[in-house]
Amino acid sequence: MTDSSRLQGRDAFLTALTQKLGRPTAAAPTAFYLPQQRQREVFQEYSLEQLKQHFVDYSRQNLGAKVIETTFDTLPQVIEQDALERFDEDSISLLIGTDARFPNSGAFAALDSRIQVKEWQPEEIREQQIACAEQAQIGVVFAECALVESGTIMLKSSKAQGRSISLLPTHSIFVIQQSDLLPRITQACERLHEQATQGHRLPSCVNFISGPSSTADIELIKVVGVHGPISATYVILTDQ
Amino acid sequence: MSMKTSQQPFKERIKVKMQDDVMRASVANAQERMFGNRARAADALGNWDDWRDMGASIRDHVLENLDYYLVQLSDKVIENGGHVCFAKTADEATAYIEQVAKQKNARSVVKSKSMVTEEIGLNQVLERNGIKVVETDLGEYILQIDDHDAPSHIVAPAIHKNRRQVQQIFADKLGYQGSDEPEELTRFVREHIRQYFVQADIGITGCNFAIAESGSIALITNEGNARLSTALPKTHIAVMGMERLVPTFKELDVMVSLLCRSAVGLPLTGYVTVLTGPKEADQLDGPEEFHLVIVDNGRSDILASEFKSILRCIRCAACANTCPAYRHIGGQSYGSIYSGPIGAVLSPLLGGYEDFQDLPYACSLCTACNDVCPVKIPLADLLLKHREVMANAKLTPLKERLTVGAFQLINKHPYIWQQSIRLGAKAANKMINNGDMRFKPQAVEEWHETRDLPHTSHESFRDWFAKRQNNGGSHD
Ligand code: SF4
Repeated sequence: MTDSSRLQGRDAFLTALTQKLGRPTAAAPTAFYLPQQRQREVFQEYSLEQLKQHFVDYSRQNLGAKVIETTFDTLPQVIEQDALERFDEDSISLLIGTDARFPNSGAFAALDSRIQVKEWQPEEIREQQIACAEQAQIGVVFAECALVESGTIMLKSSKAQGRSISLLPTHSIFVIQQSDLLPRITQACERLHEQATQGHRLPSCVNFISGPSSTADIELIKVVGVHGPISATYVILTDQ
Repeated sequence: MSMKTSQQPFKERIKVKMQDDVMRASVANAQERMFGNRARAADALGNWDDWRDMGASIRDHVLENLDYYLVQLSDKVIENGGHVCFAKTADEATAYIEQVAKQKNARSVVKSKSMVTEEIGLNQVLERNGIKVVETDLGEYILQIDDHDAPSHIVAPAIHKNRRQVQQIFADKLGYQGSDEPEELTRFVREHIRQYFVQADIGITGCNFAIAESGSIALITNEGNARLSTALPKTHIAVMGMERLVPTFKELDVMVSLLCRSAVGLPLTGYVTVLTGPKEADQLDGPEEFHLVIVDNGRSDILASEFKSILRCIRCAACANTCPAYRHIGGQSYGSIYSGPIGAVLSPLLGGYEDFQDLPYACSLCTACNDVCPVKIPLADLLLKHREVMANAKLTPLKERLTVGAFQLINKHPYIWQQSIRLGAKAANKMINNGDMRFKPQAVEEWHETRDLPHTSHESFRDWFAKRQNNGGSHD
């Protein structure tokens, strides 16, 4: 246990700490069992249909998200319609990730001429892509999975889907495969735990996003839309 | 701002604060809403007490094995390509961050809300190096531009201000000309702060939980500012109190579920962001460099003391949202960045009795806080223990101790007290109607009748209440 150039002060820190604990540094943790497993019981009896219904209702009522159910083939048209409904402008800039689960880019090229579709270009210059996201009104990303209990979208940062796409534009569109609906954060955490157990480094950014950004810092009144997106649409692909 | 937020004596502070009607109304309103939100969320989940048991046992296990998990965590961060600094003191922590900032030639920093960076007084250190520091949490930002007004709540720091005051601050400091509508005020800040995110050289965040097994940190927010602070600047520095970790994602699940419900009454907040090391080489946005600063600053002393259980705390503020003393005197009266019952226990431990000896008396020992704490910290017992420790150390003459403190002061003003009891009863009625009964103002009334320093019965609040019911106690 020695300090490297990227690790500072550990030895002295731990020596002081274990002195307080009154024992040498532990080679292994003590055994640990949770006294209960309540987290596994939530929505255990729900069918997929019931899970979806709860997800849709919660996201609409509690988060103010728009939720659309559609199929893979009609995804580009659904996105087009959502964009035109949301923005009444001659030129709407839409930034989309290049996740392999999206239809190929040709499908988006044929959208209404008012919509300027741009793809996230990981080979480009960082500042340029961030500026592009800053100027886009809409960011479209593919979700890793979604959590029913809290109306949450889980995203992993990747080469094809940068963090900025779901962060800088004023409106977010999240695309979710119905088969990726999980009861709650428990199941998502289990997946991350598995990945860590297998010794894989996790993606640098995993986000659990529940609706648009919000605050209640003034008089505890909820205001939707602070630093992150101001509105969100969830598109569920029911045939996936 | 460091931990201490006021040079005035406690007695003076509360005298001034008790006359601040805007503050008192704002705090009462906030407390009622937050109390109700939490209770509803806990009810909706069900088996809340079991969840609290899970939370407490996870936290105890971590404290028991803290050295092991800190080694695992730091090894993983290094493996992921990050940097780790273990800082025994506040000065060590700020010196390290100062050094990183200098290396990066940083001229501006964006921060997302973090109690521990307040505790170590980070902003002053950066600012004396000519670095512009922007607090990006809306509440923190309001306080920062209001000439560094002190926070009054650990989750919603500007809760003592109303919309008109915020409007005035924005008008004076930023030339804002809009209305006092929270939505318009918020949008204005959104536009105003964006530039800082884009320009900042360094993003600094706290850390709600570090995950030892993967070397990750989890940030729990609503506004999106923590995401911006960690996506755009090229360097990210996360600062954590050394006890704020969980072994694996399985425990993160439970802790996040407890924290979000207890703090804001939601199953999850708007953003739960899990960050692992610097960005991958093939990704565009995200930090190129990641530093984790692990701060002791007195925590290991607490670990070895009879106050150890306070280190379970996950900073949800549910205790403050329930506390009648907090309701009366407001968060700023505590004179510490940590207010409410958690602040009254923690501030003397981290900052010393000399500065914070009055805080353990800002409590009627009604034990309502014990019953809402998601990790079952016996807060009222710890407050009593503080009094005991001070009595044994003969820190101040007994008579003096009995005459200071919020409640003694309130006692001298029967009108204020009656008024407060009435407000409390109104709040409680609402809670009963919502089907969750955790707090009865009679507890305070009962205490009020005795007027002396009460003894804890070591009886939980609900037991007491149940007994009272069985004895035909009234329902009002
Ligand atoms: S002491 Fe308990 S209730 Fe208070 S902030 Fe900490 S965890 Fe929350």
